[in-house]
Amino acid sequence: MDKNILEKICQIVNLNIESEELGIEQIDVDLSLIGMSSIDFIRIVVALEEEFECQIPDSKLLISELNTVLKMYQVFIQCMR
Amino acid sequence: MKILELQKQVDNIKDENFEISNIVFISNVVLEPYLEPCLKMMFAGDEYNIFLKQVLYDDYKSELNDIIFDNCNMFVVFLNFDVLVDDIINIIARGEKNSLQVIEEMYSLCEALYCYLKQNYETTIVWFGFEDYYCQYKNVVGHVSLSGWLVDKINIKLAEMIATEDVLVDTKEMIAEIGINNAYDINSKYRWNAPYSKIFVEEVASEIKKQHKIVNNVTPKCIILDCDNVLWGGILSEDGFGGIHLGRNGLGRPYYDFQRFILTLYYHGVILAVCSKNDLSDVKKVFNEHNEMILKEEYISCFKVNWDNKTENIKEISSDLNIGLSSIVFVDDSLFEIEAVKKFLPEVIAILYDRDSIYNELRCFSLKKDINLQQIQERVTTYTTDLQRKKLRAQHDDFELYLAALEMNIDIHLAKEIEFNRIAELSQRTNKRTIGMRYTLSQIKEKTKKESYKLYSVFVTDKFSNLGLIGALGIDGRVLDLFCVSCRALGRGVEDKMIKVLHEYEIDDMLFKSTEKNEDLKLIIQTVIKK
Repeated sequence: MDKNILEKICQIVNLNIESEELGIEQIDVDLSLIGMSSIDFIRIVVALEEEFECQIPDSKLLISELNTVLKMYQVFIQCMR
Repeated sequence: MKILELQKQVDNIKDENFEISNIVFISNVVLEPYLEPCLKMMFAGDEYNIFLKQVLYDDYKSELNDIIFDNCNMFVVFLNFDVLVDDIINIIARGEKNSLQVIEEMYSLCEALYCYLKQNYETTIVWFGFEDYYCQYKNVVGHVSLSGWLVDKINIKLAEMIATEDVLVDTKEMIAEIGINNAYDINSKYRWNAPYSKIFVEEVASEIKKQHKIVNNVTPKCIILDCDNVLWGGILSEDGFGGIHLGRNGLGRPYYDFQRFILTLYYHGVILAVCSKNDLSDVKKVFNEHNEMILKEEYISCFKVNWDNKTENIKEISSDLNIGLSSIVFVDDSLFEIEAVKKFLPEVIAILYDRDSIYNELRCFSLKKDINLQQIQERVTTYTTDLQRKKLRAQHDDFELYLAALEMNIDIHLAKEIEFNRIAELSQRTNKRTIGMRYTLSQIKEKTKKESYKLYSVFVTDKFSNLGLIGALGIDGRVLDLFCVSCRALGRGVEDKMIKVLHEYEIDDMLFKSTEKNEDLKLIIQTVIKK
């Protein structure tokens, strides 16, 4: 896995969710259980799309599809390819 | 700017000493991810820390909102018409409903929300009016209204309900300003019900900040105007009375329009002063005799027309009118003068007059839309008669003899409801003789509902003029939570008489907030409390 991308995703998640800082060791933590609201979700997705200069498919725009750092990583890697 | 950069900037704001303001945003669409970070950045400039709570329109009556609504400093309502009324044009086209029925239905929904908020909470409501620029049918029918200007008719009805006590924002005008093509984001509309573009959301945030400033009376109080090439075209001392350009046509039209704008500021409570390198008699001749002058001498509270340094003149105006430099805007066409003021009087907002940009620059003013002509005239009269008071003061070494010569009458009485608005305004405008507590009209009304709360108005008249309501006192049980006196009435012993009222109560505490100019009042009142 690309550590830089994982760190960037963690940075953006941490900026938007008021909870303990997530590190790349916690990529499986369910973000909706640590306080990610629907508005936080929108902010995170938009920030990631701007950072990685890609737009993820609308079918992935569900919290259940992107509720962990790992899922975000997988979707965006796919998107960037 | 990318959202990540914006969020980092927000994160870096050092807001430990900022005033907190809670805003509840009720909407049926999403204005994120930009609304909250934009608001935080904009308000940080005025040292406010904004906490934004976003509530879905469908959930506004939910009990889960009670706590956040109770602590709210401002409600903002933003309802998207397209989401609220599905497929309105086809509903009308097939005769299911007519326009009148739709107007009534939409108005009823809005009325229910507005009345719910007004009945339960004493907080200002900023309501963004409906807009229908999203409608795509103009591409096939041309720029004609398919629904009989339905949205405009609803907005007119909303204005009748809302605009007396609260604020109805003209959303269509906001969109027109940035351009319809720039206001929407189709992608975000279909992804997460966020139909508006980042540019438009920034405008919404800017408007919320504007209205917040108006509610809290954060605005300059005075504008000082140069004359040559600001109020008229040309140089009076060179071109003469007949050679300056001013009028409804030709070269003088921009100055004519600018004077009209300044007069509007005057009618909304801004004090006008003139600072010009000219002969005073020549300038006053123009003010009093030029047919096309909109601004007359009677509107001007202070003339500093001489060949002296303008920076010194501005300081004198500040002293004569008892208005702090940070509450003054200065307009001049000379870059040299502007730069000098910026260097030596950095608190003053110095604006270079440019025909095309001046109106935008004057956005620094945030003025209530309601006009009280009598109050404005009283205020101007007070400022102009202050010079007469200063002369009288100079004639009497003894302060008591001066007060006697002034024939002053100070009337302190329990405040009437009609005086609440002025009291709220006073609490927000005063910086020197105040314990620093600022209240909106809604907050004053809320306080006076308590039996233990005593609110006093202070009126002053003297031989020169009626100064009107220039002070207020608020006592909540044993706590002093309001004490303010207008700078217009300073130096006459008004505060001493107000302090005598405090002796009638057993006050053992006071609420205090520093304005950086009110420490001496704090010490005086603390001494009174201890006694």
